[in-house]
Formats: sequence, C-alpha cells, structure tokens
Amino acid sequence: MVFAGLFPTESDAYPELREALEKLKLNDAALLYEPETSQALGFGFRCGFLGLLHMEIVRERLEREFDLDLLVTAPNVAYRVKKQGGAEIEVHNPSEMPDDREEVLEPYIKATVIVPKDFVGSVMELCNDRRGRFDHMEYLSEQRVMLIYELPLGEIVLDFYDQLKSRTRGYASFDYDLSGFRAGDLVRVDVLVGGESVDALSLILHKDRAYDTGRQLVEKLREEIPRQMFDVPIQAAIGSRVIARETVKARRKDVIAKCYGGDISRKRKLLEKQKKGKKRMKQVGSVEVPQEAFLAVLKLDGGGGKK
Amino acid sequence: MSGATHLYVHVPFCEQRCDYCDFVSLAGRRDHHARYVEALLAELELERGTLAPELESVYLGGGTPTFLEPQALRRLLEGLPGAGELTVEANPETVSPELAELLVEAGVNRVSLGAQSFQPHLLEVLGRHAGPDEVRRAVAILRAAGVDNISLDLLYGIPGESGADLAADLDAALALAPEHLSCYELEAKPGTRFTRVHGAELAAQADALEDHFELVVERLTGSGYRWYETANFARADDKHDLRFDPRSKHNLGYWRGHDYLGIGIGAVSTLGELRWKNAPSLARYLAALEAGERPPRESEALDEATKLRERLMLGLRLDEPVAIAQLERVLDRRALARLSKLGLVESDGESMTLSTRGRFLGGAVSAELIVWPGDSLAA
Repeated sequence: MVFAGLFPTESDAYPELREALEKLKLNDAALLYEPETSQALGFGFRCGFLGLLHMEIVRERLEREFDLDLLVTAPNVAYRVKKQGGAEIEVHNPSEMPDDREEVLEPYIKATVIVPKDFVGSVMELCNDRRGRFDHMEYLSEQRVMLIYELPLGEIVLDFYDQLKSRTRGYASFDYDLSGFRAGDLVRVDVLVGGESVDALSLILHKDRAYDTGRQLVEKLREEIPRQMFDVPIQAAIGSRVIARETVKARRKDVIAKCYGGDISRKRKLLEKQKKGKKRMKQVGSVEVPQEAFLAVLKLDGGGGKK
Repeated sequence: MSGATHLYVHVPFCEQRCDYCDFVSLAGRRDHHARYVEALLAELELERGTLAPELESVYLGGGTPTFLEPQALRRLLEGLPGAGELTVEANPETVSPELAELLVEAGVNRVSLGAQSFQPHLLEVLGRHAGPDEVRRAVAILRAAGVDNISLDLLYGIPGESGADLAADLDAALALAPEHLSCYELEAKPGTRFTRVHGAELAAQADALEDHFELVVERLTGSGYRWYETANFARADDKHDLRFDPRSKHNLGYWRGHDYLGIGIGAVSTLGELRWKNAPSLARYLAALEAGERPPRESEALDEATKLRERLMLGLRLDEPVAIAQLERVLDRRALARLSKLGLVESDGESMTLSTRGRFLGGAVSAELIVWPGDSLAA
C-alpha cells in the first residue's frame, strides 16, 4: 500500500472532500481513508492506495468527478514499527513515526524490469541507487533482458518509474509484487520553517540518504517559499540534530511608490489584491508557504536520490 | 462639510510624450491651450460650491503646465482661487526668466521641477530632452525670481542605472538645496512601449531596486531631509533657517484623507462619500464645458469602510502617527500585534506609525493591517 495526505486547497472544502471520498469508496473498495489533521495543511484525509497508479486515478476522479481542488502530499509507504516494550504499530504517516522505536520494518517488492540489453547498465545503476538487491538476470532473447531486483517500496513511490523511463529512452517495462517486510536503518527527517516543524514535509529516509536529501529539500524549499517581511530559516533535522539549513532572506522593499489624489482608488485595489493573493498560501507559524512547496520533495533531482 | 480646501488642476499638454509616463498627457496641441483653459475655468465655476471659501492649496499638475502658451497660463492662474500654497509643475526646459516672473506675479509660491536624473545617459533612456545643466539653470532662474520653495522629482531604477549613478543623482540634487524632493521608482507599466523596449533589463535589476530605495532614504535623511512620506522628503535641518514647513501641503491633504476637487481631463475629485474621475478625452471635455455642461465622468461611491481603509493606507505612508480609535472597523488587530512583534509597526494602543523597516515594506504592511471586504476576522 501507498499512503498520501489529501487536503482541499481551500480549507472550507473539507466536507465536500469527505463526501466525495465516501461516494468513491462505494465502487472502489481498495481505497482506504481516515481523517488527518495537519498543522500546516489543516483538515484532510490520509488515504491508502494499492499503488501509485491507483493514487493517480483516485486523485483524478476526485478532481474531475467531484470538482475538487486538491493538494496531495508526497506518497509514502506503511512501516511496521516495533516500539520499546514490544508493542508493534503500523505507521502510515511520516510525522507519526514514534521516537521510542526499536526497529522499523519497511515493505519490499520484487521488481521485474525488461529492457534492451544496451540499457542493462543504467538500470542496474538506478536500482543500486535505490537500495536494490540484485536477484538475477535472464536473456529473454538476444536483445531483451529481464532483471529481477528486490527493492524497498519506499524507494519506488516517488519517481522511480520516471527515472527508469528516462534512463532507458522509454524502452523499459516495469512490474512489481510485494515480497514482504524487512528491517531498515530508517530515520525521520523533519523540516522546520521559521523554527516550526512542518508535519506535512516530514520524510522517512534511509540513514545514508538522509543528509543528501535533507540538503536538497531545504534548497528546493528556499526557492519555493517567497521572501517574507522577515528572514525565514528552513532546516532539515533528524530528531534535534539539524542536518541542513537555508534562509529565505527578508524582503527589503514593498511599497507603492506613488500615491496621489488621482490614483487612490487604483492603489487601494492593488493592496487588496496583494492581500487576497496571500490567502492561497498556507500559514506555517507566521510564514506564508505556497501550496506547491509541499510537493518540493517530488521535485528533487532523483526524487530523494542522486542524479 | 464646509467644502474642500484643496484644488487640483490638470494641464495635459507636453512638448512630447515620455514613453514611461502614465499620466493623461497630449503632445503639442498649442491651438487648444486657450480653449482648454477656458474650459477649466468653466468647470471650476460649475464646481465652485464644493470648495471652501479659503483654500489651503492649489496644484497645477500635468502634463507640463508650464508648456501652456504664456497668455493661457496667465489667464488660468489669474482665474484660480488664491491659496496658501500654489504649486506649478514644470519641466526644466520650459523655465525661462519670463516664465518665472509670470509665475511669481501670479502668486505661485512653489515649483515642482521634473529633473528625473542628472546623468545624460539615463535621461536619454527616458527620452528626455533636458540635460542636467538645464535643471541647474532652471533652479537658478526660479531662485532669482524669488521662488523659495522648489521641489525636484527624481526617478530611480532607470534601465542601466547603477548604484553609483543614483548616488551621483542624489548628490547633484542635494547640491541644488531644494526644499523638497520626490523620489520615485520607475514603474514599467505593462503594455507600454517603454516596457517592451526595456522590460527584460528592468526585470534583471529588480533586486538592485532594494538597494536603490535604501540608498535614497539613507542619503537624503543623512543630508537633513525628513522622510515624511514613502517617496517624499522635505528639508528639515536647522542650518537653512526655513520660515515655513516645506512638506507639500497639497499632497499632505491627500494623505490625510482631506477632500479635494480636481478639474481638467482625467482629474479625480473626492468629496465626502463621492469620488469622480473626469474622462480623459480632450474633445469631449471641451465640447461639454463649451455647452455649459459638466464633462463626462466616472463616479465611485465610497462607503465608510472604504474611506477608513484609504485613511489607513494613506496615513501609514506618512511619518506621523495614525489614530487607531476611528479605524477600529477596518484594522486587523491580530495583524497589528504580529507586525508589532516583527518590529514593523509601533503602537501605543492609541495610535500607530510604521518603524523605519516597516516603511520600506509599507505596501505589504498596510495590506496586512487592513480588513478587506470578505476577510474573516476569526478571533
């Protein structure tokens, strides 16, 4: 299963989203959803999908058939967490990853990739990058090769398929089956904007990847968050340890240069428009964050991996 | 209501149209000057009842009022009511000893000169004919004629302008010791020829404009000028022994929310709950007034909340406190608290002013402070 948060872009559309999900569920039994409250994004739903394609379809249907404007957070997988003291829980949302965890199990898949033989090298490189374990390889013909890898599902959900396609000029075909859960050295990376932790941006990452991705993520956020009336620090942290930091420098000028008797009405409307433009942003503490910024992790080079 | 105490008179004629200008202006048309002046005086007559018996200010703006044929200009000045402050806008190249004498004789006591820049290469970008020496010459002529209240307009953010260019412009302006300076960032209006030609360059220098604005404020306040409005500076040092307050009384009227009557094409009037704007067409203006009728106008009703919003927006442009009690209805208290905490607004609960940093961000700050129609004010 793949999970993602669905939030209405206008917070007052929450009841409509709930109703839409109820109706959708009637003819899509695989869809799971439960209410979720994000400090940053407000009221929404954490939804479980069969896979990325299913997620895409549900999102499309909600927007098309129910005329909703949605913000979908970066998808993640479900983790099985053994807590100290032996209790075992399932975590569907990175921000719920408990601190007192003894072991985290993540879902694995058995991936089957079929490519022309010239691309075998680049596919192997991609799979290794994504913590894949080579299982075996078969020549289906002189030209076509089948590669079998075991991969953490969490490494697939962001952009694996796009990467695979672009590295094989579109020739690769990709198929997968869940193959069970395995322990992984995973950490939760939190993002702080203006000193406040933003739950909707938390990520579960392999320890070896955390530093790199954290750095890329804060860089991306620095580009996505517009300058405000004060400096806005953006940090990535594991627990209380900050691993990356950027600053959105404060704006130093925002004035209406000329304002005399002839243009008071026009300037008044200009200010009103300026204020209305901000309403489309989400408020994190006193920082206005555009909705697109919540998808920053999807726009990283290699979706959390390397180029 | 005892009537408006501020009168604006729009004179649209210019020697040539400047590509960057967005005021109602018309190149040449010398044959229309006399007719236009008669129409202005006719409109004034029709609206006389809206004016107070004594005016604080009369302001002739343009266009280029001093481009008017001398006889027409004299006729206009003589036909206008007297006022404590009578300002005429002038382009440097129109200033001659004869003109200065005409102005002073007619009671003009303040001249606002469109200098824009003292750098020949920047003036060329603006398409201005007057060179830096013409500004100096104009100031000298006006001084000699006894004009003791001169304002200079400067533009910054001209394509190709460096920080050093701006510093040199400020120094050149300061060397003339004007009583008043207006410094505007060049606004590139979308769709104008200027923007088509220079748009890319303007976008590239957007960041430098922050430095420019800071430099303007730093240099002028450091030279004894009071930054009394977002873009306006008035000489305030003791050295010069000013016998009057050189802030523009006319413009203070706008910023303090006073009523004003505006006559001429494109001119705006605000009287109580009503604002109107004369249509910009010269032909229709002349035709209406020559037939004894009011010119075509667009009007806008200003409800109380709108007036209060404007009061807040305009008041915060000034360096003087804005009283809070009357603005309760349109003031977002939570924004006030938040912005105070950020050090952008200073308030003692009864009144508020923007801090220095707040004034640099005055647009954003006032947009936040105002409760707009449709804003929810959840506690």
